[in-house]
Amino acid sequence: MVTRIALIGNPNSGKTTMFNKLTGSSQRVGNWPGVTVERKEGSLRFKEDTVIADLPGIYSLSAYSPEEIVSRDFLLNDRPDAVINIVDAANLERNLYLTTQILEVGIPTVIALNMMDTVAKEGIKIDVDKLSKALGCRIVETTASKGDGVEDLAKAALSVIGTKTENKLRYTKDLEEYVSKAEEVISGKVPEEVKRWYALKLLERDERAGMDIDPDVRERIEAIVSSMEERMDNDADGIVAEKRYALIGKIVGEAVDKGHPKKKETSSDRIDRIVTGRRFGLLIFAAVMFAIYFIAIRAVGGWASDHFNDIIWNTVIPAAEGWLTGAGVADWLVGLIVHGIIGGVGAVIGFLPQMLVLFIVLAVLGECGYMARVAFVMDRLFRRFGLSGKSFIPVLVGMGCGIPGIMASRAIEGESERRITAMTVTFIPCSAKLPVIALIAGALFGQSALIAVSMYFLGMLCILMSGVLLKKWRSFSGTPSPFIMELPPYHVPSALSVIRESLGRVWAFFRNAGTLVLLACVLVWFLSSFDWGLRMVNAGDSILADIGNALKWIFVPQGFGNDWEFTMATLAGLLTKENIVGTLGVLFGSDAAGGGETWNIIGNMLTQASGYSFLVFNMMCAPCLAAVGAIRKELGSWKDAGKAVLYQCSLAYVLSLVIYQFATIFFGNGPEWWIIPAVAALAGLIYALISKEPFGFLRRRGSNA
Amino acid sequence: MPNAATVIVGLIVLAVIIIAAYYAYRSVKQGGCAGCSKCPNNGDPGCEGCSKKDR
Repeated sequence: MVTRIALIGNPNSGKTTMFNKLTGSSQRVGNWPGVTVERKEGSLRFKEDTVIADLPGIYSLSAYSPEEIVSRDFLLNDRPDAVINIVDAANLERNLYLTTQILEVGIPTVIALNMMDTVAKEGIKIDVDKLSKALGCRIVETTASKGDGVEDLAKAALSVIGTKTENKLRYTKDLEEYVSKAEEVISGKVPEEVKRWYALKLLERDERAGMDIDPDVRERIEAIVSSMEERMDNDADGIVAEKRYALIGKIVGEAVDKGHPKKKETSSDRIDRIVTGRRFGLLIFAAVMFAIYFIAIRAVGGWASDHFNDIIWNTVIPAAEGWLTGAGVADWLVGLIVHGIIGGVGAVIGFLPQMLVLFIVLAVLGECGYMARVAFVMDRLFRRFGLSGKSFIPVLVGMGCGIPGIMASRAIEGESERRITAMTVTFIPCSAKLPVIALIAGALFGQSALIAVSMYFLGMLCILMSGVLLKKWRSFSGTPSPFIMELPPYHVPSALSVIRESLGRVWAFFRNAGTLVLLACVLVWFLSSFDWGLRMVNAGDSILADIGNALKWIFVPQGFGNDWEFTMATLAGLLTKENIVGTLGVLFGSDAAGGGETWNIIGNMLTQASGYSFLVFNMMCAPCLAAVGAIRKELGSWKDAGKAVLYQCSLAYVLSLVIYQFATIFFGNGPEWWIIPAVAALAGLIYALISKEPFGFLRRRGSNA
Repeated sequence: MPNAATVIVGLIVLAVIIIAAYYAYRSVKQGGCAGCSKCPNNGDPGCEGCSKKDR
């Protein structure tokens, strides 16, 4: 029989690290809250029939946020055999607030007193026996990041399975009176083991708990709550919270000796004064972003990619072509293998060193704790645009891959803010877009890191603009949700975690290149090598050229619609973004003598203005197919996902139009007549941003109909 | 009539394309992800990939 153990605790208390240690998994961990938004499961390392469920980090068992609902529903409905409550020992009071509620659910519980290394460093002494006695459950001291105490914890959790639990925590006499009254009213209406939990939740006026109770019982409870509020002169939830903290304070006071802290101000505090400060916070962030892309695209990554491309184009491809031709393989098959598969996939793989460097730098920044500060700094900026720092967490996650970024929006409490974030998080360049940026930066801008940084900040601008624009629709209106975040102390990143996370992403990149990109390259090669009568022809007379020529007018105002190749690359990018590079690799690779030659061909076909416009459109338009699927999941319907894609593509179209047309005035041959729609689009965008009710005419039309 | 080298290399390429198509289909079916973790759905317990790996 399979036994289930739930892992539960506050955000950033080390649950996922503990989960990985217990199960041997390599789930993504992050030094900021909100990494886990769904339940994750894995088998206990030395006991296959025991499943560990890693629940999202929460502060209480209320039902305010989706993570709280996921965790509490699992405890109440699925009733795991045991609970491991991960408690950050350095922040005991706050963490025990959740513990008191878990103990009320009546499931055998073991507390993992985690981050004991930090506690030791801070000179805090915890009398574990006393704490265990006061809470009425077993406590194991752990430091999950180092693996200390993990085995003892697993054994302790297994040993409590099947034991009878009795919650010994009792609050003040006056509150207990009302708890008894509530328990009496709901007796027989809820399972006996969760009676006390329900009684306390109903006294807090917890709406979700109330939904499980009959309306007449609810009325009787309401009478008890009203009388409690009158007597204790506070709101119902305030009363319960206050009494909980009073009890926790008493327990902690008896079991913890805070000693004499070695330093009043830690080095983390000192760094934070500058890094999160109003004056320099944003400037430092901009400098960090520049440094990230400079290292990834130009310096280390650029140097390594140049060598890597050199090997692919000047060694692998000529060798493969020579060998296949020498073996007498038919020309069309040589073309498919060399120019279709190796050329197309190779064009994408060629950027692997740059991506690896980016993955490593991002992992280091996330691990050391800087990214959590960025969310805090961005909260001030986001709030001005109707969003909050909570919307920035998905942006951070989305820098690796848009899909978990979209999923991370689930942690945002506000419905409209959550939907806006899910719709806009892919404006930030994900790792799949990096090869496209590197290609254009290499072909037209001398590998300048500023191109990547500008895409990042343009993506951010699009998110902020969308915050303002979309909130003017009735369905998206609402105030930004409060953003409270505990900043984890800075620490030296673990090399193992950084390597594991980076290699995980590299593997995912390879998997994508070997599946969707390879198939798309084969299709592009076929369509660009044959005509409608299936005769082998030059690319210019091929099926792909006919389709591209029929569609290229769409992007003429953006400056890259004169050559069909870029239109087809853009379309291929809707499947996965790497396909843009793969398609151009197939189309230009056969004419090029090497990777650098492909850059020259693109450099001769596009100007800096049209190249930048091509990049803007492809970065901001609809994300890859899988990300559109994730948007559908978060928004709830294909109709809403379709609207999101339409919004993204429209915004990308307008931006690339405006950027190209204005760029031709300042850096090109003077204005084209397309400047008129560009000015009109820009004026429309500005009007929509500053007007109080720009879409009022639509609403009126809707209400008239 | 194609020569033996063309037939052999052609069959290998066909096998590669079929395998790529299978994994692409599986990845898309599972809500395939381009680069986050081994789990295509970031650890969704309902995901087939996770079930196979972790249980």
